[in-house]
Order: sequence, then structure tokens, then C-alpha cells
Amino acid sequence: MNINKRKRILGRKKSGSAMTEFSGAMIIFILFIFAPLLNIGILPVRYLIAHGIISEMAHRMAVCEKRTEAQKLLKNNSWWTNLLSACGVTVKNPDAQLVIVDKGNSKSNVSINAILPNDKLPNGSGGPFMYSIQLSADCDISPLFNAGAGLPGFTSPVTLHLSSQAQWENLGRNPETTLYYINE
Amino acid sequence: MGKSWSQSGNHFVLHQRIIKRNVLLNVDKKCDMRRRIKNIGRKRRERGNMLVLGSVVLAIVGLGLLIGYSYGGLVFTHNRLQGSADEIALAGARKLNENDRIGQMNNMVARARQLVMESQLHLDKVQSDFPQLQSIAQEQLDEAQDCALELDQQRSYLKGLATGESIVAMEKKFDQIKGQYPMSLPWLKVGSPSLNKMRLGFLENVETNVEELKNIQELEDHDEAKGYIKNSPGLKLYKQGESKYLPAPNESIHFYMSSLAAPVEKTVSPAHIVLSKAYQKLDYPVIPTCTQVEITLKVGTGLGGNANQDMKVESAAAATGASPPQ
Repeated sequence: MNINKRKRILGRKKSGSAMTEFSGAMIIFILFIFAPLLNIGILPVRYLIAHGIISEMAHRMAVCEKRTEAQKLLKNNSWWTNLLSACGVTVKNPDAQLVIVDKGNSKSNVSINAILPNDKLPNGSGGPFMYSIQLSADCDISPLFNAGAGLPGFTSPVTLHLSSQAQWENLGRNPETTLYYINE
Repeated sequence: MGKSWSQSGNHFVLHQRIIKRNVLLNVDKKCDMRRRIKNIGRKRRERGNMLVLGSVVLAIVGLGLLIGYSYGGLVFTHNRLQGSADEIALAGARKLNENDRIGQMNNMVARARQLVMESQLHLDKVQSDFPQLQSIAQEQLDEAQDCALELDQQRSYLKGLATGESIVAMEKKFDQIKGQYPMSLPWLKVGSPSLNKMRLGFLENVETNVEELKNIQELEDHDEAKGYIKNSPGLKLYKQGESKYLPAPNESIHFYMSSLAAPVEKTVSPAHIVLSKAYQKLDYPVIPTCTQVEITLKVGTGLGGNANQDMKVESAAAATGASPPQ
């Protein structure tokens, strides 16, 4: 075997071993540094998007004429859950509440289905009141590469309780029923 | 001598060998040195490769996150723009029924209508029962008709005034807000918003603020027959929109009444934001009581070729409701 041939073989072996080592290192790098970094990095982005969409939904509910319309909007409209789903966020247990703040700044939460007692209405004895719709939901925010199980945020979704509040707009009364729209 | 030559000859050979060996050793050393240098270079290059690749990967991750954050920024900008649109629509809506001018106009139209009807009934009665008083009754009717026509003109004038003031209020609000938007960050570019549409109309399912006027049975029957009144368990209100014509011979006089939230037990409906789809355009020449605006904003993520787009938001607001009649 001449020297050139030997050298060539030796050269191949050296570079080959480097490639093997390098590819191994790359796999470790991608699996343990690159992917987790990307996964954890995407969470705040998805959080921002989820919060924005929940705020938009709360705003839409708050500008409804009646509270029953707001309930229907939440029940029958799946655009926001579908949109969030497309963004990698699964919405669970969406719930809306009416938040009432009186002049003494004390806060009370009432279910969106509940009927307000007379003293909590805009002309009630404890008034004036500020009313807000609070929409909250448990959001499973998935990382970019979701393995379904494992460490939350790195390989599996993180569950966060997101909520947003929007001021109830219509404080008038319905001339047809003489009831406050907020109580209909 | 020969020995010495021989010895010196051997010495020469030995010397030659030593020199040769030294040369060979030097050559080996040089080769070894070269090889070592080569290996060090290769090692350096391999380490350099990892560093470059690591940096590239980190740069890609960073770029990806930056793009992600810029899209998050778009959602934030959208919510901000929606808030601005709400403010603009509300500013216009508040101006429409300032000092309850539409509510009062509606009440005056309804009363002018009642007056014409009553004058006509008087004239009919006088013609049959007291013909000597016909001229006075006719004069009263003419006056009531003139009053109704004059009021209709005033209503048209008020429509122009309220519309103009509302538009000015919306434009003024927009001018206050638009300067807050332009922003140029490496990952988010926001342009100046533009106020595309300002529409004035009415809110669906809201009738007039005027309750059905009693005391003239003929008028009540006529309104009932024509379907001018909204029958509900609460207040019986005139429907908004089309002219509430009187029976002949006064059918040519227009009595338009605008849609406006009626006061209920002295509760006045405040101006408020409504769902944009609740806005309805005007089909009749009535005074508008609802505003709708559309704003667009040029936004771009600053990264990627097709990331620029026009963000569009709509908002609508209803005017302040009518006050209880004086």
C-alpha cells in the first residue's frame, strides 16, 4: 500500500469520526438546547395572543345590549376558541361573571346567569355601581413541539388561568319590559 | 598511517552516518512539527465550526422568537386600535343627542301631529254643528299645518347640524389619537391610522322615545290600524323610521321621528358602545342616533416579505337616550 493511499484512508477516518462526533453533538444540541429553548420561547407569544383574544371576546360581550345576549355570544360563538386552538392554545372551562364595584370600591362577583337584586341595580341603594364582564378560562398553552407529556412548558402544555375584564356598556332600561338591560 | 587512514576512514563513515541520521531526524522533526501544526489547525477549525453553527442556530431561534413576539405585538395593537375606534364612535354618538335635542324634536313632531289631527277634527265638527265658526276652525287648522311644515324644516336643519357636529367630534377625536400610533421597531412597524368610514344611522330594535299620545280616539285608532305603535307590555312607543302620516286630507304632511332610547321611570340611557352589527343604516330622512366608524392601520412585523397588512377595526356607539318629557 503506497503512502498516498494510506494517507487518504487515514484522512477519511479522521474526518469521518469528526462527522460522527459532530452529528451526535448536533442531536444533543437540538434535543436538549435548541428545541427546549424554542418551546419555552414560544410560550409568552402564545400567552400574548391568548390574552388578546380573550380581551376581544370580553369586549364583545360587554357591548351586548342585554346580558342574555352576552351569554348567548359566549355559548354559541366558537370563533375565539377555534382561533386560539389554531394558535396552539386549548381553551377549557370558559366562564363569565359580572363584576360589580360600588362607590366604596368593594367588589362582588355575580354569575352571568344570575339575576341582580334591586339593591345592586344602577339605581340601587348602594350605587352608583360600575359593572364589568369578566371572562376567564383555563388555557393549555402548548409549546411548539408538543410531546403531550413531560415537563410543562418544555415538552407538554402549560395550563394558565387567563381572565380579562371589560366594562358593561348598556346601563339603560328596556322600554318594552321596563327592566334594566343588564338584568335581562 | 594506513591504520590511521583506515581509522580516519571509519571515522569519516561514522561521521557521514551521524550527519545522515541527524538530517533524517531533522526531517522527521519537521514532518512531525508540520503534522502537529496541521492537527492543531484542524482541531481549531472543528471547534470553530461548532461555534459558528451554535451561533447560527441561536440566531435562528432569536429570529423566530422575534417574529413570534412581533405577531404578539399585532394582537396588542389590534386591541389598542379597537379601543381608539370605540372612543371615536362614542365621541360622535354623544354629540348627536346633545341636550336631548333629538328627544325634544321627536316629542314636538308627535305633538304637532296631534295638533293637526285635533284641528282637523274640530273643523269637521264645526262644519256640521257650528258653521258660523268655520273660519276660525279653518284658521286653527292652517296654523297647525304651517306649524307642522315649519317643524319638519327645523327637523331637517337639526339633522344637518347634529350630523355635522358629530362628524366634527369624531374627526377631532381621531386627530387626537392618530399621533400615538406610528412606531418603528425592528420587529414591529406601525403606521398612521386612517379613518376610512364614518357612518350615521340608528340602533336596531330601538324605537322612538315618544309614547303613544292619548285623548284623541280617532288618532289612536288610526295609528293602531297603520301599525305605527309598537305593542309591548311596557311603554307603547311610536316606531322609528317611516313618516307617521295622518288620515286625509292631511296625508301629505311628513311626521318623521328618530330612533332613540326612551326614558324609563326617569332613567336616561347613557351613550354607549354597541356591537357593530347592531348598527343600521338610515332608510328615511330622520336624524341619526348611532355612529359607526372604521379605522385601518398599516402594520408590519418588520420581518418577512409579506408581513405587512392593513389592520381594520369597526366600532359603533348609540347616542344618549331621551330625557323624560317636560
